[in-house]
Amino acid sequence: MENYQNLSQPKLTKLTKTRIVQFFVLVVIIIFVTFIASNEYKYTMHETRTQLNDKIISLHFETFAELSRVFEKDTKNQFIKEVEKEAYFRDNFEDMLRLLRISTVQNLFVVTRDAEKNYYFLLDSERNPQKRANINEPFNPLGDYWDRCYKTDKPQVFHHHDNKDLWISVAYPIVENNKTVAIIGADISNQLDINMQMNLKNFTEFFFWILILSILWFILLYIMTLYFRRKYYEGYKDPLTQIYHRKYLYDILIKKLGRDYQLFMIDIDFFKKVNDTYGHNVGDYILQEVSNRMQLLIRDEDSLIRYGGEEFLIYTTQLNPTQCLDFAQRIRESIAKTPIKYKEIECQITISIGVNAKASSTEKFDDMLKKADDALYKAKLAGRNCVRTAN
Amino acid sequence: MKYIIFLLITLSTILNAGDSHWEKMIIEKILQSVSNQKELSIYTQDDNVLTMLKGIKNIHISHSCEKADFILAKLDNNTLCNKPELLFSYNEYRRTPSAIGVFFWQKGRPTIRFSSQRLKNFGLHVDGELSKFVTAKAY
Repeated sequence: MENYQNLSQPKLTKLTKTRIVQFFVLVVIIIFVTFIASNEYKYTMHETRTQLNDKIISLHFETFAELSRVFEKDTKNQFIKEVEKEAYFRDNFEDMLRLLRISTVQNLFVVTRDAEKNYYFLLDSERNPQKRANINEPFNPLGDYWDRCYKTDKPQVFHHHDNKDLWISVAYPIVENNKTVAIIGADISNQLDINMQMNLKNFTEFFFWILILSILWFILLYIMTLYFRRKYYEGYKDPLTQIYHRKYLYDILIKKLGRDYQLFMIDIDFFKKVNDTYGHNVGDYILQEVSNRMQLLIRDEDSLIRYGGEEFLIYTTQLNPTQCLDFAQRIRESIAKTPIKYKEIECQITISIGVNAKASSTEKFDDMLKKADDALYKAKLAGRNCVRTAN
Repeated sequence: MKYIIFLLITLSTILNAGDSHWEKMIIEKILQSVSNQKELSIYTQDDNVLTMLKGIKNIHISHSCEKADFILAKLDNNTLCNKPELLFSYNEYRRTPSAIGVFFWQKGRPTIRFSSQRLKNFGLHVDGELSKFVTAKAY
């Protein structure tokens, strides 16, 4: 958009600050959106996992409820007595446990407790003698959920945290005459949780990459917008002076004219003579130097345009006639005060300025321009190196 | 009580067969609970137990079964000495009349049991937090 080489230091600083602020705002928006999305994602994942946990637990509860009913029915509400006495029952019940012990159930057993609240195994689905718990072998009820199961006659669940093997333990009561006599215990392997987490992790990675790509895409779009915007405006720049040319005036500026605005038509005095005397190189340099000096004096919101040949146009807003005259004089003086030097050649250059201080968007732009041009003509007639305003 | 429960839960939680640190702490606690002596002399024929015992304060490894206060892990059949034993297998504990206690893993849970009758035979008793694990029966 702007040619940085031609910008004054304060303008360059301001432009840089604007870019930094824009980028900072962009980063803040990205961080905010990422934060919101990440929180929403975490919440959804947590909910999904909780629901899956609940589903798994409820499936186990249903199975154990059925098993418990079979135990009670087969032993005619004499579960402990029959299991301790009859090897037949033990074998049958352990076979049942084995049938129910799917790969994700690491341990499936039945325990009971004595009057001293010591727990003992009654049944174990494990066949391996090294791992198997025999009847009456002590059981260590880590955690209080086994006692709670006895106390409440209701199933209990315990979540193992950071355990390498176990994920959830389920204690399901075997109730006889409204009293818990034994507990079906199941240790659910964390392999199930690991599988679930792996799937969720894959999804998380997918989500993460989508997020990263979106951010990169967003940044790329921002950079491309800046680039194309700059390229677009560069098309309206005069290659010699690096200020806007006449096409900019009619394509862009005319569409965003203020309600009241001011036009300054500027012409370099005796420019043809300079060109003829010193050559085009000097003429070109003078055009560059004049536009540079004027550039330093205009505000950010003003526009400096090379209208044609050695003619320039300055568009301003919010200046009253007095301010317009002062501004035009400052421009004239900035050119006349210091001669322009090109190598060994020193040229005393002056400009004439015609001002239309009361241009209005309610009237035709060309008419407003003509008034400024007429004023310039008057300045030329008045001997050049002076400012004249339109009536 | 809370301490030992915490220790057992932590131990079961960590459940790392390679990490003997927690097992070492449990054994130390068991020995401290069974004996009032400040310094204990232990005899064992198990190299793993021997490695585990190294570095435990106030516990010395005895090279003679007769001079030891306690025996840790099952001895071979030729060694005969009437000393209280702390074993690491429940089946061996059941079959060994001189085994006063056992510490073993069952279903991923560290389990401790003491036999009140066998403790009595050696004139021992379990104090403090571990007294919960003393039972009359040793099947």
